[in-house]
Amino acid sequence: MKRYKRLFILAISIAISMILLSPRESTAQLIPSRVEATYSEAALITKIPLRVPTIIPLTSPAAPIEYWASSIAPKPDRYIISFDRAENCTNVEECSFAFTKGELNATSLVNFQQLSAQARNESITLIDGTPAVFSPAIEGLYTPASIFVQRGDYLYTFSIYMADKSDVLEMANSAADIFN
Amino acid sequence: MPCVGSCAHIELTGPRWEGNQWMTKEHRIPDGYGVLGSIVDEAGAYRLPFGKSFALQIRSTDEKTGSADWGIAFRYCYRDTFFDYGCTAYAFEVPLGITTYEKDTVVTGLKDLRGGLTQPVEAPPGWEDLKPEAPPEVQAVIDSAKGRDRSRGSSLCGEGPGGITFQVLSDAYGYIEGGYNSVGSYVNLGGQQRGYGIGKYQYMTYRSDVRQIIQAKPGGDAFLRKADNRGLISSAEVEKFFTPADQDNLFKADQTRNIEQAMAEGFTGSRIIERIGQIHYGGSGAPIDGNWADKHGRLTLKTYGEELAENYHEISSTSESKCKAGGLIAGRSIQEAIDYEQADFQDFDAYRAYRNGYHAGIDFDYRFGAGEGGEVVALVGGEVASIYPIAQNRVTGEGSMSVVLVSTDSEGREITQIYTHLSSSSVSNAVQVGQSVGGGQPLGTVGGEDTVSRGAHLDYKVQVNGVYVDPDEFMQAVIDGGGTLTTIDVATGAKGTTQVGAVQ
Repeated sequence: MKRYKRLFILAISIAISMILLSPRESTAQLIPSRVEATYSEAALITKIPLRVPTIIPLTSPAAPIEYWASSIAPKPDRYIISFDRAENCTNVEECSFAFTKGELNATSLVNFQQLSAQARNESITLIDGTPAVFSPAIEGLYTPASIFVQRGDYLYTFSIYMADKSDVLEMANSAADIFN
Repeated sequence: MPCVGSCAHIELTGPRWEGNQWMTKEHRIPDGYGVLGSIVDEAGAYRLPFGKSFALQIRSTDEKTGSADWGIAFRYCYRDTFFDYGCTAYAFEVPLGITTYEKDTVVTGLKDLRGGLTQPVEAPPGWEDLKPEAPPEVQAVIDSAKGRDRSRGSSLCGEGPGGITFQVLSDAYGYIEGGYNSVGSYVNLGGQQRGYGIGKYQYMTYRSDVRQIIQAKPGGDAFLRKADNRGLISSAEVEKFFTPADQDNLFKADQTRNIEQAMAEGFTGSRIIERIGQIHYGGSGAPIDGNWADKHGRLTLKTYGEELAENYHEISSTSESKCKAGGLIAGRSIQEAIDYEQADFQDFDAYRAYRNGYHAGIDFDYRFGAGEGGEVVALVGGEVASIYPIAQNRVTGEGSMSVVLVSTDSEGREITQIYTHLSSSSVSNAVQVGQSVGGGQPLGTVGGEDTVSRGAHLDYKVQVNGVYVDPDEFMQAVIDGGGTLTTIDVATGAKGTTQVGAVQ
């Protein structure tokens, strides 16, 4: 009887392990090569070290099936990459579904410390241990869920409109220093 | 348009017409333009020797008798201050029962390549009465356009001479005379001075300024003839031919003259109101405090003036609140913000396909002064709870911001107002998180087109206890001191209701 009990516990343990260890169905999508080209464009102008997502989950109601990217008014002290549902956003409503931004923390409109202090925001830690701030998408269709990360003098923003925390966290965790 | 194939026609002769033909209405031509033109876009061949009022057509020809039967055709047009809805084709045909024969003279108008339009001759009397009713699909467009025009109306906010507030004065008259669609008694003072008092201010239909407004509308002449001759006129006709906007525009100009007259006569303070009431009631020659009365004898000149003044003072605070500043854009009143008509996609319950959800806010664009650079002011005050970027200006990269104000109503409900698409530089110059702002206080300016919008605009959203409500209804509740509001679920579009108390 004791042996059966042991076998039963073993079977349960194996089942739980299988569930826990089985790969989660991925909703993430590696960025297409055309987006990398946009990253390169921004890198040519900005002096902010590019830290850009390599994965953008496409589960938000705002996310399209395929997407393009555009570098918005890059400057030496700032870059903005908008992830768009159309190649050319001219006359396209609600074109951007996500964006990422890099800027100097000191000159940001709202710096990392202020973001951390806002009641609506939550302090979190990225997978590599970097402190970050999560800001939920709470005001309707046009507020992005965002994660703000300070690395050295720079403030990085990773945002997806109408997204869950897990999606924007996946985007921020996928960020890599490229072109540097 | 040349005829292809065999088309029935008459041959024309006479100076410059030798060898020309006039096709019957069976020869179809594309016609009409704009929204209305897209509904009815084809007419039978016609000429316009009597101007644009109606077209002249040959309905049929008979070769045996060498005769032609004639008819006319009407079209429907509509335009308001802001938008031209175009015209249908001249497609609403009416037979005249007139037959002409070979060698008879027919009216063609000049050969001017415009159907004879350039020097039209006067149409025979009574032609307006022949105009058939517009088909429902055309009437629906016109009614809808008029609804928009009406709601825009003419703002009565602002003071006239002597510090008299037009909005309050308008409402004070309304208490005596009725609403915009009121039809009063028929009056016959002899000669041309016969007709009805119509609308909120009971302007007589025989007044030249009133007639001018009405005559400018299709069918206006027929309406006036009916009014002159004691025909039955309906409230719907009053609103159609003498719209609230018409009435308010005339009212402002008219009352300004009356106030100036009263002041020139030496009236001051409350007596100005009494006197302008007398002038309104009895005309500019009305004796001061006279005992003239209308046919009902209910009010004399004196008592009419006194009642108007009493109304004016009693309702002034309520009525003035319609003109309360803080209508989202500097210089606009709350009433104007309510009256502003959003396009369907800018409305509270607009479905946004690319967000798979419902707008929940209302958009104001350049038509309201909310184009790029328009100064945004708080509708009602509150504490700046947060300021955050929602997108970037596509050209400059500047942040496109939301400013969130939180306050409570008189019953403790949390009111959240969200002002979106403001430029970040203007917001940082105007307000900061934690600051208290009052109604009418600047929050920043509208930014340029950003990464989530098309065209610069202000998006205004309101939540009551965290639930989105119709901002138009909320603004009305601000004026009324509370009310019932429609709620919406952003994800499903499901609607409900909630209450709000007084909001300062």
